[in-house]
Amino acid sequence: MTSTKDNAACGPQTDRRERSLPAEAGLWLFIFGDLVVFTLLFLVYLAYRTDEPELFASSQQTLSINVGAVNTLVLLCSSLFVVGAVRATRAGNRQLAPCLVLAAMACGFVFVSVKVFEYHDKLETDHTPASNYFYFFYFFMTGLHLVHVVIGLGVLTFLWRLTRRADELTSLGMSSVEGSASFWHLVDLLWIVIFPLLYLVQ
Amino acid sequence: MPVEGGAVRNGWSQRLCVWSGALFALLFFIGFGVIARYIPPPDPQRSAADVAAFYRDNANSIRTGMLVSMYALVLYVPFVAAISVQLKRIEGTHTPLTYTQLGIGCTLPVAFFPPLYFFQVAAYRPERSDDSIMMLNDMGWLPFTGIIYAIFIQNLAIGFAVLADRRANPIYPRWYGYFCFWTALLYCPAGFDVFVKDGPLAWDGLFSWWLSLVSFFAWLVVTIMVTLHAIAAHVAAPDDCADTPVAVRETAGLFIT
Repeated sequence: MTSTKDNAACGPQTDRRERSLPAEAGLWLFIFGDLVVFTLLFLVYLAYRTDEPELFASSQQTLSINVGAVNTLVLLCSSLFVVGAVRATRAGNRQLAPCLVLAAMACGFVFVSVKVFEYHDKLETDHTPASNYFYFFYFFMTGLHLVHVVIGLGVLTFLWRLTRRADELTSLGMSSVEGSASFWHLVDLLWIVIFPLLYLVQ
Repeated sequence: MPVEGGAVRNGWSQRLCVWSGALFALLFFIGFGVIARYIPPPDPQRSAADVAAFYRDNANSIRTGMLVSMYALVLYVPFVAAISVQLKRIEGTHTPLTYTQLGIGCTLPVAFFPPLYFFQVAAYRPERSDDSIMMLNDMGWLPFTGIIYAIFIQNLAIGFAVLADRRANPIYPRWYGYFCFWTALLYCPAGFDVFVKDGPLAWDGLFSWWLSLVSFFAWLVVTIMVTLHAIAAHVAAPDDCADTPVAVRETAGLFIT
């Protein structure tokens, strides 16, 4: 997964490991663990949904598909920027890579802002987590995801620092770049499941 | 390298403190779950009459169970101390994360005594009105499930310290750092039990009670295993894993830049 330049620079302890995964193996423990928890949440949501299909359908009508779609697009763009940043980092481009990370972060901030306006709008029209189970899950799922976005913005800041030294990164530095990018893709992936579940599924 | 006494060389006092964490879990389960029968938690929507009846019928087992549970809670502190010893080896001379972990870890018994004493107060005079008993029951259960704030930061502190280890052979395996981040995240939903009386976030809910309980137990078991392993490695070859890293990783990792 890494270029030959990185392998030349890595220490003895990194020679031992087979680099078949991007990033450290330990990070994948976190990512899969997180996916397990969200999967559990999705299943519980679907179980509650089958109990009250009409209520869930009518509450769903009050969500704006457009707002959700905009946020989906924003996150997809940010993931694309991150992919570009990882490629630029592998190529050792210390000018382009940090710019692409900043672009991804800008997308992240747009996502958070849109979400805050959406929450504000919902609370203004008296749709709170206590209203019904649809709104309970709406706030719970999107809230938990939003926490991931905020953590992700911190991770992207870390990635930005790494990419500024793109041409002198060692194997493990590169592995940190991949790890940070993987976390951001996780945030994107979760949203891609949450969006249809909450906004689209009839 | 500082001169080490016999206790350090064979590590028995450290191991004792680690096993104190296992004893904490066992005793707490016996007191809280078996004797007082508080696991699984009661439904928050129970009527006041039902709640009061529970305390009237089981006053003595609740008193005994809580007493055992509170002894158990204190045994968490030596366990936290044993983790701190290993974190101190990672951090070296200036040890902010070690102190953070130690300080926060010591608040666990303090945080859980009040809820358990509210249950004790309810069982002390079960002839009180139904409403008063229900209030004491709420005062106990809401924080009991909801207090995850300290342990959340404790897990983060351990995770950051583990990932900052600069040794070629780290004291804790690096996956353990990520594992701590994951469990920290799993505790978070529990704090929302104050908003709802049923569903997955209620004090007996899937995402508040069960997820926190399972992740805490998993964290405890894994931490006992990796800490015992770290102690064994230190005792077997004190020079290879000295308190100042001999073989420093030259390469960057997460939090090592």
